[in-house]
Amino acid sequence: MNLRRRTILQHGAAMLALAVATLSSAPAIAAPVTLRFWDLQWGNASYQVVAQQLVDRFNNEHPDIKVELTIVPWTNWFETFVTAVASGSAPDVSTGASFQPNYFHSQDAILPIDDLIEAMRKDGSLADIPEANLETYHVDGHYIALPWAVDFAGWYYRKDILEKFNIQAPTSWQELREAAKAVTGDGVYGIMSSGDHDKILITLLQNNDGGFFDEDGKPDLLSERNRETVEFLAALQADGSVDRASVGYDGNHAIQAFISGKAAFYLSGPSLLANADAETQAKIGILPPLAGPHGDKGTAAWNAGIMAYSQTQHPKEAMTFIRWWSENETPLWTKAGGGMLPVRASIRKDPFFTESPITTMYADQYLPVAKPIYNKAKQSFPELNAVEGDGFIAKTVQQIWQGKPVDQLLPAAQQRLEAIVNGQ
Amino acid sequence: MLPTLILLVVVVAFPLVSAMYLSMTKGSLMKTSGFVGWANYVSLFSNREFLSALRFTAIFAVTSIAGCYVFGLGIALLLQKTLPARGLLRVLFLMPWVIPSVVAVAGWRQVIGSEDALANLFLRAIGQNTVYFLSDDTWAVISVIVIKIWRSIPFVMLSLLAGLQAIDRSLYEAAAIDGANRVQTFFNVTLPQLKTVSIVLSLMMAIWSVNDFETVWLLTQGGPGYATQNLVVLSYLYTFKRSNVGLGTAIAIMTLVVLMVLIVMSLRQQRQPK
Amino acid sequence: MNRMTWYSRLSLSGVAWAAVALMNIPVMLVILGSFQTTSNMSSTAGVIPTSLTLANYETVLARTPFFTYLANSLTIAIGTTVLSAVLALLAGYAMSRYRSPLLTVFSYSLFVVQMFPVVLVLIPVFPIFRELGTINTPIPVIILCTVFNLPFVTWMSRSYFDSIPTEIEEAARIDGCSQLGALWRIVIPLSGPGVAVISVFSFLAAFNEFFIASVFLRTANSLTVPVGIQMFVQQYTTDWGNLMAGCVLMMLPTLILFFFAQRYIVHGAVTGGVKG
Repeated sequence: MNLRRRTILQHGAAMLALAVATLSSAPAIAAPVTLRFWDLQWGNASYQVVAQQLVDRFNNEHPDIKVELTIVPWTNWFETFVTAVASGSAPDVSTGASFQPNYFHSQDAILPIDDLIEAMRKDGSLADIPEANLETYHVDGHYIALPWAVDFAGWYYRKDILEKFNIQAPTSWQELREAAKAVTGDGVYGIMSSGDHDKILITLLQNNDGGFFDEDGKPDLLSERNRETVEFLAALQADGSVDRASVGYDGNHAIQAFISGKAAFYLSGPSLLANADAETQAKIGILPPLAGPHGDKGTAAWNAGIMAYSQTQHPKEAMTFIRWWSENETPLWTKAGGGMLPVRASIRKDPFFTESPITTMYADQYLPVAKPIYNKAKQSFPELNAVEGDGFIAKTVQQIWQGKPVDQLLPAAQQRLEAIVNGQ
Repeated sequence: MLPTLILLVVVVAFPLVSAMYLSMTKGSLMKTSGFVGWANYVSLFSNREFLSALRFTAIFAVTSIAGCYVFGLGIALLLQKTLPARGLLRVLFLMPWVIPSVVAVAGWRQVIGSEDALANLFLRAIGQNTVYFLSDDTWAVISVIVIKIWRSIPFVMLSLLAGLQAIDRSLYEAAAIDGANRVQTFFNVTLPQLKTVSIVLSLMMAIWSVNDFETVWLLTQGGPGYATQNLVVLSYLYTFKRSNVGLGTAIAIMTLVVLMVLIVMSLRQQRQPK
Repeated sequence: MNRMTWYSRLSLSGVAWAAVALMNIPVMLVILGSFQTTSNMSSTAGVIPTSLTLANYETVLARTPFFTYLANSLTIAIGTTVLSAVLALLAGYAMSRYRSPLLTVFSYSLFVVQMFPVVLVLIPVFPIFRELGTINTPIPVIILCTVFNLPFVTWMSRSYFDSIPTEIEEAARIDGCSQLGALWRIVIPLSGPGVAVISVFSFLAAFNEFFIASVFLRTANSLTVPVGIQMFVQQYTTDWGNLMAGCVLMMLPTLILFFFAQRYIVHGAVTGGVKG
């Protein structure tokens, strides 16, 4: 009885499977391949609409591929990606920030794009993307993501405040410190910062030709140049030039406070004024890269990349889409207020960029002196993701702004950095 | 009961076992690499960040539970009276709980976040100095606790209000006949009758304040320095940002075990014959 | 209680309104902010706005599918409330009236749920829900929100049931009611305040839930309001004006609901039951 029932069930299942197979195989030839593309909210409130229009255009031009766009909110974005990969539901393609591709690659979650890079190198179109940006995503002999944008930090200043005190725009750290001290008073400060302003430390370390790592990729925070940099920041604080509420601000509120005229200088990225009105934009300018105490100029740069995941069933279509997106994404800036700078020189030729003094400054003066956070080590490595995510850099900045003794801060940070690199 | 049990097995037992396993491994959520036994747990006892998080978590939990219970009970007693527009008042008292936390914290930043924030305008108006609430270690701790209390009051108030309504009126009549005054009635009738609700409430509050991520993360991200970094934030940092899921889950499980012991102990206490 | 003098009633009212006003300062600042554009907010230093505008509300309503988000949120919140209430009332009643080792284990294991990091639950259960074809539907969010609500709602309903004398049900049983019948017809109506509290709690927890929804809901048509309004959060800046307007709009249905629900928190039910 039991046996018979099982055979009947097996027969039934087999026939059902056959029927399903027959039904589904016929239209499968014509049905387009579906790609799940996760994009982050890189621009203003219109971003989703503009990104969807771009996706629609791609789908029209490629009848055999259907891309489904999901905009991942910045809140919890990193957990969203980790959770998706860990639970086997990674997208086919996504954009992502900084060392996300490097880290996900080390977790076997990334599908390298070597063939795509090779094809682009052959037809010459790779020349549009600077080698330096490509190199960040060149790991273990594989290209793991295509860089599409680059982010910096540069010094913004309030023209109105400097004019009021009849001060020239600073060109060096020393002049910055003097100017900041001169304008401080009556509820206005020289420097605006925030509790999550890790960029200020990273950028200034690079600026002074220091950095987190030595040539061998070993943690190197205790170097002379780094100590000098932290002492400079501590001096700004000791002068009383830094808004004392800075430690408690988050980036949003620091921007808000800077734009409302609370401070004269603020270190931020190309997106600072993306949502400001014309009146505010007229009051704010950007300084060229400042000279450090030894005359060095430099700034930190962060890539944003577009990548494919190893869980994808459609690697060929994913490559097609990655290439197309990288070539056609201009509207993400021109129509959706995208924050960073495009990696492609051809896109930067758009009047949208050439006519803006800020993007021009970034492209002409910051880009040539920009270095990634791993700088002297020459090669990126997956732990960099944890270095940036850990929080110890921001905590060091908070403690500098609190006026804690400088000689203890760098050793503590070095200790934490060593722990991260050793995977703890 | 049965569907609940199935749900619990799928959603709790299964993940719990996998988490216990994870807590004994190295590597990340996406790719574990090797079994290390109790090493993660052992390393926690010499981890300074863990010990400081433990300390802050305990302070945060005790003060916020006490605070929201006292205020919640006070408001519940007030709203039990037949006041004009009582319905409207009850709804307005719920607002801090209804509002999403991102925005609640944004609202609070306007109260304490800068020199021109409301609290500082007030302090200067009464001749005090400006306070940098979120820039100073001690003030940051106080601010996080106050905001946690603020967000929890409505829910404590509502639960206690329902508890108050369920008290048998005849007990009050009996107390009145015995000649008890208001204070005596409160301590001899009201509080004992609220005991069961209060115990459950404080246990839940203990869990929620120990596991509170949003208030801390949105307001201070654990700063300044490590002043307001609690166990969940640390566990989150290890699990996601530091790519060390073993240590992250070990912290979560340690927290769970400690809380569970506390909970079982206090519930045993409550079950004892009166 | 009802024999309060007009004087004490007035002063208590004064205290209550003062407390409400104080507690709602941050909320009022948010509401004020929702009537200012983000750039306007930035360019004025003080707390008091210089001009008010409806622009944020127009943006939220016209440029985002807000009503779709709202409908999804309400579906999830109502589904969770009903499911949580049913499970909590049955389990809470059992815990209040019976003692057994299984019940004890069950009741303690509920606390474990609440202490567990959500993400460690989501990763193993995600594939199950995917196999069931329920991704981008409200089902997984309702189920998981219910599970995370269960500890509180179950224990709370138990403690409210504890305060209802068993004599009432025994009387009903003698009159021919079944156990469930007694629960449904006698005990639940008597624990009205408790039911109201656990419903309000379940509703709010599900309505404001962000992380579970953001993991399971991935298409524009399935998003909830808390996830949807996160689109105003950008890489380094946030469109506060729009975000706050979205939040105010999101709070309205909840407040209306609460206004009606709070009527069920009325006293005297038990006394009436015992004496009648």
